[in-house]
Amino acid sequence: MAFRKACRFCENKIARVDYKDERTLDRFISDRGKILPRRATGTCARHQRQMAMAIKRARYLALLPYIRGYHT
Amino acid sequence: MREYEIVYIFRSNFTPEEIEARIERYHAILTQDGSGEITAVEQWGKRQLAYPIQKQPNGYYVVAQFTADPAVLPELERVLTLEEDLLRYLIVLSEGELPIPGSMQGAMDDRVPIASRDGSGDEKRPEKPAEGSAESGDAEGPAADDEAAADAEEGDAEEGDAEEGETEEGETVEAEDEGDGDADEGDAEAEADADADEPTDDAAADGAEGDEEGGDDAGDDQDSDEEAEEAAEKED
Repeated sequence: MAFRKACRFCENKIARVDYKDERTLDRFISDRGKILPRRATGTCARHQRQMAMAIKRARYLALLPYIRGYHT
Repeated sequence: MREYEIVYIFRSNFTPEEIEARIERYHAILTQDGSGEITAVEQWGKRQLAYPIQKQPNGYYVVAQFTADPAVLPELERVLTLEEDLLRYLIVLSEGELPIPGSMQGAMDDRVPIASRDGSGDEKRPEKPAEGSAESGDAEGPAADDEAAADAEEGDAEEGDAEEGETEEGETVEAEDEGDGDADEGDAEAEADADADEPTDDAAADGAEGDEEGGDDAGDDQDSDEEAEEAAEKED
């Protein structure tokens, strides 16, 4: 692909990724709960770092699964 | 003094009053020397956990923000770890721009309407507050672990932040608008992106389900075939 997809967080002018917002974070994890790579989501480096930390916090708080489908 | 945010997950068999009593007991530790201050407490209520904790499928979530001297945190943590009814807690340095939980929400959520979420009836999250209020406490002394990186980033990002400050009011409006109609450009792009991104997840998931179902059906068919054969044999 010649052009790069814009970062969703930058587009929405989100300065800080919120670990409590599991609905938004949910779209950046795979169907098994893994954090998607930047190449899949187009997230910029800064927001990818923030998002990765936010997802890990959300997992700890059971807002997101560590492995989706494991407990069902 | 630093700003912190704490998330509690209690067992879900408590009334809001009981929860409140416990939280006040914890917060008394923070405020007893007169320096700490609780700035916000918000009960999310009972929610389903993404995975069981101590075999509990549900938890009662409470989020609080406070300022306190870092020296009192070990005492708070000591008390919290002794609490049997507290499934889990998380204390993090408060992130200036997000004093209220869920302020990111709505901005990006073009997929799932709030009402249709699992357990959404149990949670309540406040509206987006007045903007540009926070951002102040960043100049404090050297920070521990991740906060150091965060501060550095904020230093880098100041230009961007300033711009955001200007546009944020407009943004609030946009975010609210998104719920009503999906007309403006941002939404169109967002949806396009969503379409591009999500088939990986959804399609994969659907595919898997479909396959499983297919497999089951096939099994059933075979079963029924066998039954039919058996029946035929019996008839013979």
